[in-house]
Amino acid sequence: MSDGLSTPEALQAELGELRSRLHHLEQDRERVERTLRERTEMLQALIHAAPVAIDMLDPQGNVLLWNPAAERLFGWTAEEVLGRPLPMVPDDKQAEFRCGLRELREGGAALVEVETRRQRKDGTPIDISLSTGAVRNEQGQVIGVLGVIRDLTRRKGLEESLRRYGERLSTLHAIDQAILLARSPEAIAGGALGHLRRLVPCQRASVVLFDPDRREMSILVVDVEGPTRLGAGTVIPLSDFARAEVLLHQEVLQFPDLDALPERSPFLEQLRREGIRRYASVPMVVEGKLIGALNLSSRELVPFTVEHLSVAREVADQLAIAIEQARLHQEVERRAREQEERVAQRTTQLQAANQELEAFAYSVSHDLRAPLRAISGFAQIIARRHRASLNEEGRHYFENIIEAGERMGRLIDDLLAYSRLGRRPVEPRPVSLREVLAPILKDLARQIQEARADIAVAEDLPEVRGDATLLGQVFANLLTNALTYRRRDVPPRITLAARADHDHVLVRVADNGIGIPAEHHDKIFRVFQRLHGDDEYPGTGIGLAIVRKAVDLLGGRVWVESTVGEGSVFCVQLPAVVSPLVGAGA
Amino acid sequence: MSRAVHILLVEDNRMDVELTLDAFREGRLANTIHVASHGQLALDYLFGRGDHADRHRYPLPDLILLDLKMPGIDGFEVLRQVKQAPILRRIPVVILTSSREEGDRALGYDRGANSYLIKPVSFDGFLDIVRKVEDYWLTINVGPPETE
Repeated sequence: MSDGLSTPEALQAELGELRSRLHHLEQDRERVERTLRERTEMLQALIHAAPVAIDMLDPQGNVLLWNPAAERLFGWTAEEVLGRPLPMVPDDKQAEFRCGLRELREGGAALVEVETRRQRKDGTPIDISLSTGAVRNEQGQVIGVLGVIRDLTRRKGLEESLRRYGERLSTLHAIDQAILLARSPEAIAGGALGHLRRLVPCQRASVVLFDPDRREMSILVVDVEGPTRLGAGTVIPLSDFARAEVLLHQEVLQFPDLDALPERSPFLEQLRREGIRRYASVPMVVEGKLIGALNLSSRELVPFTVEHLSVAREVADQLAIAIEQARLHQEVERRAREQEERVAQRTTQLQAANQELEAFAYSVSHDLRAPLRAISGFAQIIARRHRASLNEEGRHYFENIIEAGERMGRLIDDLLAYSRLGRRPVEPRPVSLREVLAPILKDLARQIQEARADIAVAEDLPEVRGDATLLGQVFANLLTNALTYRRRDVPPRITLAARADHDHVLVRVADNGIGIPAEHHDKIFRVFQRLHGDDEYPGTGIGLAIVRKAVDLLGGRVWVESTVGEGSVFCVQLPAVVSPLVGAGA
Repeated sequence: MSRAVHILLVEDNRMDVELTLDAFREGRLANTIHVASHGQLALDYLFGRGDHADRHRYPLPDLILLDLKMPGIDGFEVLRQVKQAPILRRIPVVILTSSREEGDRALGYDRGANSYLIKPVSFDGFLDIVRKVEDYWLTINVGPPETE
């Protein structure tokens, strides 16, 4: 057409070509339309058949498309929702929903598999996964929002039951731990109830123990929301409880609605007054014996599920074992305590009896002195002042009375000395053995001279920790014995020496006397144990008992090493004086 | 000695009284011994109550020999009252007892006893003690001034 004018032939040809192009175009359009129709149908079939819910909303949020899967999932039919706002967004998700819609409209990113919650037509919530996409026109404006919704309920349910299973395990584990620790039943049950109430929805959980002998039950612990008159420690007759016989068969006792009961036991009545509607009691059994129950109470009528009750049973079983163990443990401890108390009591009694006996011995010996003084006193007066009016026999008998009186006097004095030991508190302090021995040797001077004895006391005697009076009694008796039990015709040779060794001092009093047979080495330290007649060797049989008792009081030890016919060594081990520096010990 | 020496013996045991009197009889001094056989009697004598109001017959003693263990009012109570009474408190009190108990010794001195002697079992020992009491308390010892 560059050359301007066209011929009719050319025009004709041009028209023909145009027609042909038009035809082609029509054909093309038909093809495109067909294809489009086919594709739309395909898409519709796809949407229709899709197992996931698909919806499309206009920019205002009204439903443009609602597939059968959506109908099935949410319960609304297409007719019920088309052209209306999306009905299944719960109130608490509305803001999130609007926000998503607006973002998408304004060119924001689409959602891919976002987990959220919707509700069904019947109001039950449903966990879903949501993917979205914008539908735009040729100008690029968003004309619709597509939503693809997947049901997560089953997955959620699995996750939930896994979580609950985990929690059950950890609860039971916590209770196991309590068993191992074997604390008080209260502590065990209290801890378990806390865990349990997280697993089983209820407003009140309690553990009660049965006492079949007293036909009572007591509430061990309660975990309750709000105040209750049925708190821990409450004891009620079993007859006021409810159908405990069901528990005896180790079955769960259930009251689905307390209000519906024609009559209620006092226990259930009180629960009802505190707003409880639903009640379940799970038996706690140990070795076939019903010891108590785990009780769950709810203010709502929502039933306890099988799972709740099975958790409760598991907890009840564990608790039963734990509580029984703790009770056994407490019982053992109580017995042990009782035993200790009994021993302590017995010891006190024995000590009292011993003191009484000693006091008795003391007062008897003491009271014997007055009549003895009268007997020997008047005997002496007669023997002296009325000697002339007595014949030989009379004088002899009076001498006997006087002699016996003197012996009895010594006996009484020794007994008094013995029972006086320990009547006074002993306060050990450093004592010089030399200072203890000096007055004793002076008192014995006449006896030493008469026996032509030789007493060698070591120069280097250490100090000991003790009591001068008690130590005086110990060595006075040992030296007197060494002088007394001498061999005939052999002058006594007595040595007294001491050696310090660590925390004690060993004092040895050795003689060359008659010696003591080995079988008597222990016996001689007991009261009134004598190996010889009084005519042979005078004595009261109390001296060595005084020695033993005094050494005991000083925290020491005394024993004898002896060979008959050669002599004896009396060994006295006494606490050494510990230097204050060492005593204060770093 | 311008006047006779008076001793008050407070002792409930009749035999001990006789032995004491006998021991004093063997002694050298001319003594008058008044015997009170229990605590109440001792207090009646010392405070001049009732029959004892006559100080010529019952003069205040120069020495009190006091037993401790007596039924009713015991030696400790007699001692307490004596040492609290202005007219009596200077009279030397010699406790003569069978008790060697530390508690008795402590309480005796706490209440103002002037001496504490333990009765020996043997008569010889008893004689010895009585002689020494005579020698010391009635001869060597210078007593308190005579009160009007």
